[in-house]
Amino acid sequence: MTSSLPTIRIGHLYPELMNLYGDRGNILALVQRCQWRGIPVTVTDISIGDTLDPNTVDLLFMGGGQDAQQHLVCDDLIHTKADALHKAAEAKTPILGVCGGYQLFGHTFDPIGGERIPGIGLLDCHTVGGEQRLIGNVVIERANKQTLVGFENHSGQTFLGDNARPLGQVITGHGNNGQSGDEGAVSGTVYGTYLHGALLPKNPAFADELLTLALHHAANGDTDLTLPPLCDKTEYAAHQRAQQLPA
Amino acid sequence: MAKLAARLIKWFKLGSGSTVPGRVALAIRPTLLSEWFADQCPKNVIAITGTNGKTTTAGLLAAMLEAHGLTVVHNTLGANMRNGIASALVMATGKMGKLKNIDAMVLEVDEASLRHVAKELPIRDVVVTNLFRDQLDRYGELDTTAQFIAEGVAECDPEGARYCNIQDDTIRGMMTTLAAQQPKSRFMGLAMGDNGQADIHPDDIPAPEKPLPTLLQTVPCRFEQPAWERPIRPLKLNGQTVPVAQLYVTNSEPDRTLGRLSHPSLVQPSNITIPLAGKFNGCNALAALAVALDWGVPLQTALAAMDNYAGVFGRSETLTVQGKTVKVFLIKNPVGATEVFRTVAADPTAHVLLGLNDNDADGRDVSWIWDAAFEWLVDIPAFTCTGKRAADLAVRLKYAGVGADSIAVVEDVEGGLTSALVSMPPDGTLYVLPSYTALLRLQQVWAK
Repeated sequence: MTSSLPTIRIGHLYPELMNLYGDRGNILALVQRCQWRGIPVTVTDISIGDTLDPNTVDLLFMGGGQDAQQHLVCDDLIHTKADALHKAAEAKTPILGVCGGYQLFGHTFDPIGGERIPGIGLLDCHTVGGEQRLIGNVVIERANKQTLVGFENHSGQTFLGDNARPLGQVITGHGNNGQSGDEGAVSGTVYGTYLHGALLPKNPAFADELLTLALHHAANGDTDLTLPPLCDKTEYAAHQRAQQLPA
Repeated sequence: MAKLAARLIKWFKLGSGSTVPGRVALAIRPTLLSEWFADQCPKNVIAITGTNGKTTTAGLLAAMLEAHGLTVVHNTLGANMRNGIASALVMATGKMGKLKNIDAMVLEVDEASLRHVAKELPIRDVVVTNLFRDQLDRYGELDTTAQFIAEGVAECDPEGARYCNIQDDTIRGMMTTLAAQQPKSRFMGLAMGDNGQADIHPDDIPAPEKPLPTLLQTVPCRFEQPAWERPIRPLKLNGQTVPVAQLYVTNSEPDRTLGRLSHPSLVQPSNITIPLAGKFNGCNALAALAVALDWGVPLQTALAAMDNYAGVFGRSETLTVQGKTVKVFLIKNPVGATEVFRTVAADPTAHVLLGLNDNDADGRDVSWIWDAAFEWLVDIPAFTCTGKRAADLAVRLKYAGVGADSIAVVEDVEGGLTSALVSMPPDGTLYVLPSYTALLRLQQVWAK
């Protein structure tokens, strides 16, 4: 039965520049969770100067980087990828940005004492530099009561506009800006979050939410397809342990 | 002041533990380093900093100097912040709290602490080993760490020597800045490997390594290459080519590294054996040898000292615990851990105990484990995961392709060690790979 499932094509944006906090774990989680199910999977690196054809990817991921790399990436993102990313979002391709990726998916990022970094407006949010880095363990709860666990480390404080929902509400940690109580942003199939750790290995239900969307995209919009189940005992043991960690 | 300091010092020498005497003494007399110890320091004071290899490099250098008959003060036990350094000095005092005829000081100094310590103590020479992403939650970003080190070196004797890894681009950049700031300092590059531009042209070819695990081909690790795999490019500072001490590795075995050493003080390259496990220790040995040769230690004396060196503080040492062979390697960041994994994977008798804590000294953010290539370990028959973040290790191994049946999770470190030893056959080798505070706990356990 599984052999009838189409290949999931993952696009990894700027893997050599935006890979600060174990973001490789997110790709590893997506790849392994396909392979364990017998779903063919490919990973393509999409970097500076590469063109992005939205029809050739079923899932896009972008991690975080240091400030210097972020400047480099933002230029390329705006000039060679922004249109394709907006088209991908319209085609319901799941797109996940973590930390720096999340910030660049918003409208703007104004670092303290630095020049404004323009984003690509994939998510209705903007970020301003904060005096203090927000660092520590995070637990959030989503609208469907699903919890996500991770670690945050960001000086930027992100504020959502009317057209983005938060990914979840903060139970432990700082979240988007340390004040609003929300964490991350969602708009259609575009997700942004400050949670690394890496995020997906310890939050397998969220990984599968993205993979399900990717599967539907790969099957040209056939939303009847479902992912075969996996045993996630190891993952949930770590997930539960992470919920007990202090901020 | 002198009397008070002397009394304080006598008093706190009674204390034990690696940072306690320093911490208490500094709390009572915050200016202890600059006002009491600074004037008593010998001329030969060297700071060893960088993200990897500080403890081993400092330990090797101290052993080489001691073998040459020098009296050396050295902060052992990896206590490398201000308190730890103050403790080492306090413990080296005699009557009246004065340092006893010291010839040299070899100080392992934390990357961010150098800029403070160098203001208080007359540090002449500096070694910068490596700059890898390490404990990012503590210092923010790699560039910040580099900035801290540069600020620290700028506080050291402007006419001192700087031994720096020239295969690391960040360090090269730092050297250029420092050379402009302190034109009278003497620079020496450290380099391992060979790309044809170096002085040595060997005929032997390094032994083939294990092929890259499949998963690493699909999802490559993108951290910085280990420095010694990067090209060696000559570096000019203030119009002069920087002399280089270089180790050309001819053979890398699990327990030792063979290679040829070149150094400005040697007439011709010398074949040497580095009796330490893991290729990364070649870098540490090279740094220690470069300084020791400069300070007049004969090569044969330095090599003999290295042979006697039994591993500093368990960072790479072999022990017998409950009748079984145990090898210990500290793991704390992706590059170092990956090199350790490659070493472990080459041993067919290997079983593995991984220990991960998230205390401040370990780094509270454990996400680096996803950047380390655990995929090298996929053929190891049994794993035990221990420490506060044991469950994270289990997930990491699972996603590296290790079957869930091969992974035991025992959060308590003592229980984890026992479980790993009991389940291992008598002829097995247990590789114990802990983070910093997990190592401290393990040492308490096997000291019992």
